[in-house]
Amino acid sequence: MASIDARAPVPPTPQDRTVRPRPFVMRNGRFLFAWALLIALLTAYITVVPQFRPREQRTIANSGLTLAAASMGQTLVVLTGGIDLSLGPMVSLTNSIAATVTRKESPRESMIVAAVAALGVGALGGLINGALVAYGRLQPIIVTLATGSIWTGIALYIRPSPGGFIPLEFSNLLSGTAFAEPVTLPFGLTWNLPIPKAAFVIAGLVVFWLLFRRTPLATRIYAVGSSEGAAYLSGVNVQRAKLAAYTLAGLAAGFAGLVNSAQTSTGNALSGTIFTLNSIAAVVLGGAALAGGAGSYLGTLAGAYVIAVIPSVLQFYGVSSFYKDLVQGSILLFAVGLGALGLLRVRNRLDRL
Amino acid sequence: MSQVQDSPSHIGTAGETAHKRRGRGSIAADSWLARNRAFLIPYLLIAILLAAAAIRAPGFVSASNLTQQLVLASYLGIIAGGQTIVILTGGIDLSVAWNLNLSAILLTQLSEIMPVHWAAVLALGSASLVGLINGLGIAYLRIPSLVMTLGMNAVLAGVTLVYTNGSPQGDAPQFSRDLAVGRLGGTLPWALIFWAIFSIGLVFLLRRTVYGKRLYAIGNNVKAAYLSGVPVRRVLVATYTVCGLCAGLGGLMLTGYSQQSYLGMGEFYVLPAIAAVVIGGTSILGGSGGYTGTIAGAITVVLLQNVLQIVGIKPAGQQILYGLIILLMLFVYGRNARVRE
Repeated sequence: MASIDARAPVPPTPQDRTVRPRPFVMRNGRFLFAWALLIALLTAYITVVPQFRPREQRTIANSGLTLAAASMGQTLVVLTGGIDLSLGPMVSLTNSIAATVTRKESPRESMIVAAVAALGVGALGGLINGALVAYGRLQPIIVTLATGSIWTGIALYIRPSPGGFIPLEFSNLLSGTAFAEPVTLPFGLTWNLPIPKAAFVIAGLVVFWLLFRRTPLATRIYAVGSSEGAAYLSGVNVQRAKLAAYTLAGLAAGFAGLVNSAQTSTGNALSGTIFTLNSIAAVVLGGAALAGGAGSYLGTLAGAYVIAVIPSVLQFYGVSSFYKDLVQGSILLFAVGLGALGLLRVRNRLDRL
Repeated sequence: MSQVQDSPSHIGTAGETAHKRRGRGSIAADSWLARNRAFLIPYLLIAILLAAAAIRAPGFVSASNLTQQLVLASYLGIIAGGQTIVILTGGIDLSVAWNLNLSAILLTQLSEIMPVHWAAVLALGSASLVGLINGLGIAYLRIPSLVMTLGMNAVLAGVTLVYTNGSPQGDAPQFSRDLAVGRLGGTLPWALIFWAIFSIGLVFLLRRTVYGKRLYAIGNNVKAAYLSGVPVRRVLVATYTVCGLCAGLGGLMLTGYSQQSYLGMGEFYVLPAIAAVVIGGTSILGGSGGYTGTIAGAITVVLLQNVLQIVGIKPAGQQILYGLIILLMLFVYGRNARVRE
């Protein structure tokens, strides 16, 4: 038609295949912000700390390990559009179980039993959450609030006062330093760079995520979070996907409980409390949408370490630890405030609600 | 476009969701009992708890002790009042913990250096201001309420620690002690009189004012409310501000009760307040429920905590029963609709 002016093209309709996606930086704003912040914090830490020896490396790597493990679970649940407030109590519960099941006479064997028990209880707790949310059709936030209270109660039964026993070998296994002594490799090479063992755990979590992301289950979890109705109409078993997400979250919490046990070398029925809200903060910082369907563990990992590293950085800059919460909260609000930039491009006022 | 899916609570028409939420049976056939289930069940629970207490410890159901329990419930009830209106819009406020803590500390510290009434005004003003900022972030920047208030809670905890340098100073002024534990004529607690006035005010606000109607409209279906001309953002900002004010009032009363302010005094009131709202029959999705249920919910939670102790159940068992009762309540009140489209 002649009336169409070439300089003012018709805005593409949403169905138009040629519609240009938003720039990568815009789409992944919070994800990139989390990593940039983490790198900035680590740089700040390394420049001010007198020496960045294996001991400091280990401290930094260990500081966020429990949160990184717990946040894996929170990410999976948030991807379905849910939330898990029972993660922290589950960390406490599995920590209490692990520290109580172990025996000084047979540290190694009993620790294996403890690890299996912790992971099993974690998965079972997650399964219960999942069943209540998926088949009970109850609100995740209040269901997990209630089950969290139950987990805390059970943890208090098992461990009324802090204590118990965690074998030193186990603490060393998850939070020690690998290659402390130079290792002789074939071809006359030697490896003399010590690496914190926590780095291997993190690598394991990342590899698990990258593999998991390729499974049909992961696709279903994203689909359910994006649109439950559309997922159902596409033949996704919505309930089973949710059940799986919550069960895996419980398993992750159980693993976080083991990491916590290794790091604290003791059992405490309230040790995991902080991980509930911190894991949500890590997930949000990492760029996942609380409404579900968008996000990645790779972002959450950065978010978890940002939260965990802040106290160390503040300490070395001589800032009172009283500022820790203030800084963490401000960063969280700033990161979510970045999302408000997206409102600038919303044309329909109805979409701004 | 994706917004519709972002908020499952707002899918479908208001009537349809409300209908499905109630479960089986048609609306017209609902009896008075069914319609007031949310209101009646907590009172039934209170009766059961009192009966259990009477069997194990007859002294528990004496008039003086029951009055004392009601006074304890009034602190929780006022904090839960703010949480009720926020939950009615489909949101949640987790910043109540440190918001009430900060206002309590402001009251004790400022009343050392200025007239008490100015200290009280500043304490309540700061609590309302926090609510206002929450509301602005949630309504205008569209930050999910859970995240906004979670971040705000951490910021407030930090501000409080920095402000007090780790140890809050000062004592609770006399008026706050009177409000929390004083008695009119030596018999009727001021806390109960204040709670009664507060309740009448809040119930009136929810049932008889335009603001109340708009609140329910937003909770039921925010898009429909917007299209019907409800100033959604302004109502949300007002709601979070009132919630902040309620937290401040709770902080004032708790300071008076413990005669001083201390760090972490609010932590034990956030989840119980949410539990009181849910036990009182307000849907966590928003749009249905009210403060009369929350009053019963607050009494139930306080009785639950104390009766379980009287009956000889350890804190561990109390935690477990607490969780089980909330789960039971959720099943009684009805479940979400199946998503099939």
